[in-house]
Amino acid sequence: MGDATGQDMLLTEHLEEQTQRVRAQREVLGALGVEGRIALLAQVAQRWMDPSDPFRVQAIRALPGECFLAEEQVAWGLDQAFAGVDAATLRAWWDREGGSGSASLSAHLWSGNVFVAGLPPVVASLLAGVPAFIKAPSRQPTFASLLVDSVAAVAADLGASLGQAAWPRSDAGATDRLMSAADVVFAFGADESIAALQVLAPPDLRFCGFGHRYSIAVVLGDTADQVADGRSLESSFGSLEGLARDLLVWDGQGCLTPRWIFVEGDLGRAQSLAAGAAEFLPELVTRFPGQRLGPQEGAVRSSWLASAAFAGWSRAGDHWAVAAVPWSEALPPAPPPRCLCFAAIPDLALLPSILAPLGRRLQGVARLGTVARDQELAELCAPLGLSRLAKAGALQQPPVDWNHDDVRILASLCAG
Amino acid sequence: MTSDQLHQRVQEALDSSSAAGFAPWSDADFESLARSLFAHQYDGCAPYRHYCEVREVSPQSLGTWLDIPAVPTEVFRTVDLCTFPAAEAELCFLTSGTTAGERGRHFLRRSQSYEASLGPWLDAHLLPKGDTPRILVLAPSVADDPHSSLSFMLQWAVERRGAAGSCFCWKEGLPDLQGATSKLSDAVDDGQPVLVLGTARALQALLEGTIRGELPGPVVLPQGSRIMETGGFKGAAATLDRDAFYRGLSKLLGVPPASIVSEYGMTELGSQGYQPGLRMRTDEALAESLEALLLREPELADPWGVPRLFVFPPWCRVRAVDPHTLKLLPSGEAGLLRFWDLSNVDSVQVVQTADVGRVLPEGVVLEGRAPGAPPRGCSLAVDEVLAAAARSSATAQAD
Repeated sequence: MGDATGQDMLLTEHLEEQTQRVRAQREVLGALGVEGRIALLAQVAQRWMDPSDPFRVQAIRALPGECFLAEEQVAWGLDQAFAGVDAATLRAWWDREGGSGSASLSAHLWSGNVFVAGLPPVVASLLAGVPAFIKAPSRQPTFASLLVDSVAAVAADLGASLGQAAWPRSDAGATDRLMSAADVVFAFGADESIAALQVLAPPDLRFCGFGHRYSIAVVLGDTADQVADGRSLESSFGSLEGLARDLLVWDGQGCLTPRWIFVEGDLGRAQSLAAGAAEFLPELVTRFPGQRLGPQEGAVRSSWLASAAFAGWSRAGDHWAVAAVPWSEALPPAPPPRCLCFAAIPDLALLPSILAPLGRRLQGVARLGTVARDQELAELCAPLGLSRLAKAGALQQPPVDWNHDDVRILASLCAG
Repeated sequence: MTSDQLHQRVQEALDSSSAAGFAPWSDADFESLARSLFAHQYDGCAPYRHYCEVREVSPQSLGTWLDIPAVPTEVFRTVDLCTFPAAEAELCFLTSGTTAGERGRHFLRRSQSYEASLGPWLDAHLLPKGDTPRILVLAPSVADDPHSSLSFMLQWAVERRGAAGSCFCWKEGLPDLQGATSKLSDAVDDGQPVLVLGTARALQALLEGTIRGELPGPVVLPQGSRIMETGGFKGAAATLDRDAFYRGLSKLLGVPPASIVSEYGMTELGSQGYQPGLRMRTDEALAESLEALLLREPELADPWGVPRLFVFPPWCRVRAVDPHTLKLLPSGEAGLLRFWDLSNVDSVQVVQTADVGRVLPEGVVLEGRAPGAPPRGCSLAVDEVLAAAARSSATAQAD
């Protein structure tokens, strides 16, 4: 396993040589055939799911320090990322979007914190037979390094078609060199960073940018009373505890973290849900703890929770908070991270106008209640940019073939 | 107890404390008045009562004064925290405008307790010998800014303590630097000590104007002159290097750096804090306790031997709370500052600030405000987007 910091930083000087070496594996990758690539990718994922796998063990040891997450959060992140990389899913994905394309190298510009966010395009690339090169964040280089090594450990040929290096995004020259060598780019980061990269991109480059997004949850009125105790619902409805997990697993970070929970009904209903969540949160946060708040964050959180208490109701504990407010008090400012903010809304039809100031940046909706209203929710939220609708508790577990930001990832690699 | 009765009680307690040299109050005395104020504020201010109910604290269930629910300063921007109809306020102080938009409002039904707090404490720290110097103010007067608590305090000083010739040097929303230098020269000619009161920003402008040659050169103010600066070392202006600034002011006005006093105040509080450099010269007990502190923590001494801390009157207690849990911290540990100010009669007495500091038995060491929160992964910075949308909407309307 390579040294994930100093050595890789030095390698950026030899980026051209590295990308050429990876690119040269295209024929080898092609020779494996789709079925061969599917089998090997599924095997890599299986190993990552094995608690004794050395790459997984090393990731769980190293990533908490890099990503400011607890070991259990890292383990959870690895499980949810690799669980869906199985042969059946990959084959179905290929059948839906695959084809023989002309791309000979894909570049993957990863951003920080949610360390598995960039994994699906890498899987898609190898599935499509396109060598891939990852640019990892300079402060979080370990996962990319371990991923490349783990693929090589399963199959040297597959491993040789995947490269990685870490450098700061401020080194625009290195990023430019990588983009120039690639036919397709998948970039993650802030909207401004994505826009700046897009300007740098050569005109014939296929550029898929994934900027910053937000998510929400919705508690449907006909089920709100039943879910207040956290658990007593049929599984397709989702659960209040699952919804809390959606918020906590990435420590309040991540585009699929619900920022507001809109409760169809009155403030009393929102408050009973918040009070219900306050019952189990102290135990749940021991599994998904957060970062300790600094003075600035602490002051902002204290102000927000006090304002929520004036407008409705709030409670807080170590690493958790809940609030119930009328929707008119829900934004701005946005609730602090790790706060379940239940905003009472008399009619879900108001959602598009409430969230309109945020533009088309809605990523996901976690639904707590009957699946029968998914169509209605999808139609309501489509103009806001929605690309994922899931039951509460499953929002943070997107399948590997999810069309993130409505981008058909595999298809974009296979396009002519 | 009615509001008038409480004002009377507060005034008597503060007057008697001032007359006794500001000896620390016993917990029982503090508790008794704090409880009465809490009952009044709980009963009279419906939003605060609701807030306390959410926090499950009432006058009946209250443990100690430390359990009275604190209201963050930000809440003053959105909620009218008063025990009477806001329209009947004798005074309404507004916080300065910030990027957060709305200005915080502190309504005072009457100014009696406010003045009972500010007067003796100002005297003790700026006029410890009971003198009445000429006062020159580099800040707006009440006429120029009727909603500024600072202007109210400075106007009080000019009217109640200033000798003839005291004045405000402020014109068209800005410090009148030419006027100020002319008044300072007059004081030199008259041989009369001057107390210069001003915001750090205005005093900085005076200093820079002189350095650039736009104002007449330095003067040497008569012996006994002194300076009070405020607002220089918290919030946005915290980048000022205090010691260099004081050296510059000292050279500009011929006042020893040890005669420059920093004041800490905020719109939401009736009481103020001061650095104790001048008071130490006349209050032996205070000097002794602060000298002992400097032996214990020598790094607190500024180059002129004055401790870098603020002292508050005994009717205003301060504690630091853990930013993460909001629980009280032991003495000496850094956290967010929380004030229990018994001069806040008809609003709320416990105010949570975003200022960071250490609370020692001798006073409060202010550490300014922490840098902004770290970036949060790929999650959208919602407030930034909303602020941008609001700005863009405002621009479109203006167009």
